[in-house]
Amino acid sequence: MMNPYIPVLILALFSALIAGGLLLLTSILGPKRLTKAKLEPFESGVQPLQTSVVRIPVKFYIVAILFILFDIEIIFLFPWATVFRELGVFGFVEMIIFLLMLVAGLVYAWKKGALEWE
Amino acid sequence: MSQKNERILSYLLKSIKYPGKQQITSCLSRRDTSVKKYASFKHEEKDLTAFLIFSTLAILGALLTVTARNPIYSVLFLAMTFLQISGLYALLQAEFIAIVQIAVYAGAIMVLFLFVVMFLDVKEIATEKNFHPIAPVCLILALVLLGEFLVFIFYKPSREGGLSETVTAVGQIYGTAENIGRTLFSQYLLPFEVASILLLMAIVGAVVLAKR
Repeated sequence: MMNPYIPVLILALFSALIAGGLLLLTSILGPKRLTKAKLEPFESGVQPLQTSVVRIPVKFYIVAILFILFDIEIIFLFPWATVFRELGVFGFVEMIIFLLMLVAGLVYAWKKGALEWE
Repeated sequence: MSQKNERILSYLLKSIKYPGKQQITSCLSRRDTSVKKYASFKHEEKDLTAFLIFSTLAILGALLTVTARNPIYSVLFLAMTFLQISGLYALLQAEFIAIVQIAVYAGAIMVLFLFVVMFLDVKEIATEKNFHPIAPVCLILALVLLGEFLVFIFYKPSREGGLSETVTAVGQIYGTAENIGRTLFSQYLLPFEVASILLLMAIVGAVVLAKR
C-alpha cells in the first residue's frame, strides 16, 4: 500500500522547487548593474518618504481577530459536513444553533461598525 | 476509548426523552466498528525517522523564533515551527488536527501575530541587545512546564485507571474528519455548542476593545 502522504510530499517538493528555483534563476540570470536610484525602494515613482516600518492602525487587528474566529467556525463546519447524512436533521439543527450564535456575533460587529473602514 | 463516558451518556439518554437519541447511539456504534477495523494497522519503523525530522525542525524553528533579531523573522520561524508540529500530528494519526494546525495556526494566528508585531515600534525592539526584564519569569514557567512533562513521562500509576490510562493509543482511524464529526456530535455535543458561546464572547470582546 502506498503511503497516503506521498502526494503531500510531492506537492511540498514542487512548491519548494518552484519558489527556490525562481529565486535562484533570477539571481543567476539577471544582470546586476546597481545604481543609487535603482537601490532605492520603489514607491510608485515617488521619492520615498519614510522607512517601511511604521505602526499600523488597530483596525487591522480587529479584522485579523474576526478572521480567526470565523476561520475556527469553518473548521467546525468541516467534520460536520463529512458526516452530514449520518447525523441527519439532528446534526443540522445543532449546527444551525452553533451558526446562529456566531451570526449574532457578526451582526453585533456589523452594527458596532467594526467592519467599516471609514 | 472511554467506556465510562459512553455508559454515562447512554444512562442519560435512557433517563430523558431526547430527539437526537437515535442518531447519537447509531453514531457511537458506527465509530466503534470503524475504530476496531483499523486497530490492527501496524506502526512502521520509518515513523521514527519522520518524528526525528519533524521534532528537530520544530525545536530549531522555536530556537530561531526567540533568537531572531527582526521580529518579522521571528514570526516566520514560528510559522515553520507550527508546520513541523502539524507533521507530528499527522504522525499521531490526527489528520484533521494536522490540517487545522496549518489552517488556523500557520494561517490565521500568524497573520494576527504579524499585525501585533506591526503595532509595536519594531525599530526599537530590533536593536535591543539585552534580555527583557521579564526573562526570569519566562525561565521559571519553562522549568515548571519541563517538570510537568517529566512527571508525565516517568510517573508510574500504582493502580488501574491512573495517568497511563489517559495516554493509551486510540484507534488508527480515529483522527479523520469523519470520526471527529461523529464524536463531536455525540459525546461532545454540549462542549461544541458551548464553544460557539466562547467564540461569540471573543467577537464581542475584540469589537469592544478595538472600537474604543
